[in-house]
Amino acid sequence: MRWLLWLYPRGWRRRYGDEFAALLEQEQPSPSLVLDVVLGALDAHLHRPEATSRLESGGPTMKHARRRTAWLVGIASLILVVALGAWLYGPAADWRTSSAAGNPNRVYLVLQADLRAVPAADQPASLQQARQIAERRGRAAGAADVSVRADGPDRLIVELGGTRDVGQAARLLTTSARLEFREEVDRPDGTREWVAARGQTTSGQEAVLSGQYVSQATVGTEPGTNRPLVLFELDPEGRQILATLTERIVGRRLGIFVDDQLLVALTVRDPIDQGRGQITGTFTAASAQELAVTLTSGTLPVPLEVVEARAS
Amino acid sequence: LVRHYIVMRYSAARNSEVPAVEQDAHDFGRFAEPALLILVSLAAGPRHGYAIMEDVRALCEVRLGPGTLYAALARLERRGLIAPLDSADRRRPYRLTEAGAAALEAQLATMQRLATTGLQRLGAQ
Repeated sequence: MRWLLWLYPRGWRRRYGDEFAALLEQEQPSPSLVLDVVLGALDAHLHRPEATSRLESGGPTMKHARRRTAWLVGIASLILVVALGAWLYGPAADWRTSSAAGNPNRVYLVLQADLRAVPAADQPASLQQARQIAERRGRAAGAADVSVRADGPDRLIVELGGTRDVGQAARLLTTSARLEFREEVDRPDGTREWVAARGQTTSGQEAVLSGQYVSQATVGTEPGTNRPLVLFELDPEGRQILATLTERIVGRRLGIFVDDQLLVALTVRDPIDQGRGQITGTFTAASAQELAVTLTSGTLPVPLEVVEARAS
Repeated sequence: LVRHYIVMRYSAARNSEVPAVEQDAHDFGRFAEPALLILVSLAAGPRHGYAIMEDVRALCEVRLGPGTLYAALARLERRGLIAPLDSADRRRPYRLTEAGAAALEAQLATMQRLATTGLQRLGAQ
């Protein structure tokens, strides 16, 4: 995109050229970018500091400046027409038919799911799970809006608004999810932070309690209020870790994180030794179901690979 | 004589102590709003072009293109409302000058009055 710099007057380039080129290099090429820079260059020609005074004083320099401006307007229009043509008929015309059109900051990804290890009957459910996980991750990453839809039996199309970092989005969506339990600790400066929650395994080894120890999670309702809640159960190893852990942190808070996002924080009142827990909160039936899904399969059910990616 | 008058008027305009951005509204034209956003961004401390774009985007969902950004930056610099800083990097940071801070404050005060009046009038209905 550096060539756009040559649309600017020489004096302007001398002053701003380097920094402007550095800025252009950080931008993704797009018709709206070209348009913006062309109009900026035109403005720089029309409002040159020295040109203004010359124009006011009249004389031959004014004629010269006018001729120059006429030329520039001509060149700028030509570039606009070419850019518009490229935009309408260019090789990448298909992406504008998606909802990415008109939104300046979007990442568009096509993910290929590797379903070979999944029995045919479970494949639709696996893809659906991967879709939910992708959606959750997009939101966790702070995307302004997230759209994930299935495209055929083994592909997902993901659109993230408010970002144009394709690399980050690709990493985020293809790494396996991490469900983590963290404990809150007081730091010397009076603030608090969440650190990985550790307990002892049945063999007495220290271990971090994570999603690998969840054996199942289901949706239930709170007696009395009938509000949805999520029940989870740990396997024997996880049970032991949770028991030793909660014994140690009675009175403090335990947080459940999925992909670094705090879902639930509960204050530990008594040591939890049955390896079962319930998560209450402001759940709807759907969001409780979603959490249960994440708890049992916080990790992606199938490997995902990026087959197409672009930012706009 | 006419030429002398024009030169005087020109320098008078340049040296004018009244710094408000709105005063130059006819000259800022379509760059008046970007200029305001840049001043607000620089009020938090010196920043280079890309950082200003990111900050403005986060601040109010407005995406300034590079052409727009630099058209506004150049105007602000010409008026002494912002000043470039030295940089080892190609990406040059800019800082708000005292005149810039005064201009920003004046314009924000105007906007606040306008907002207050507007909201009052809406409430009165």
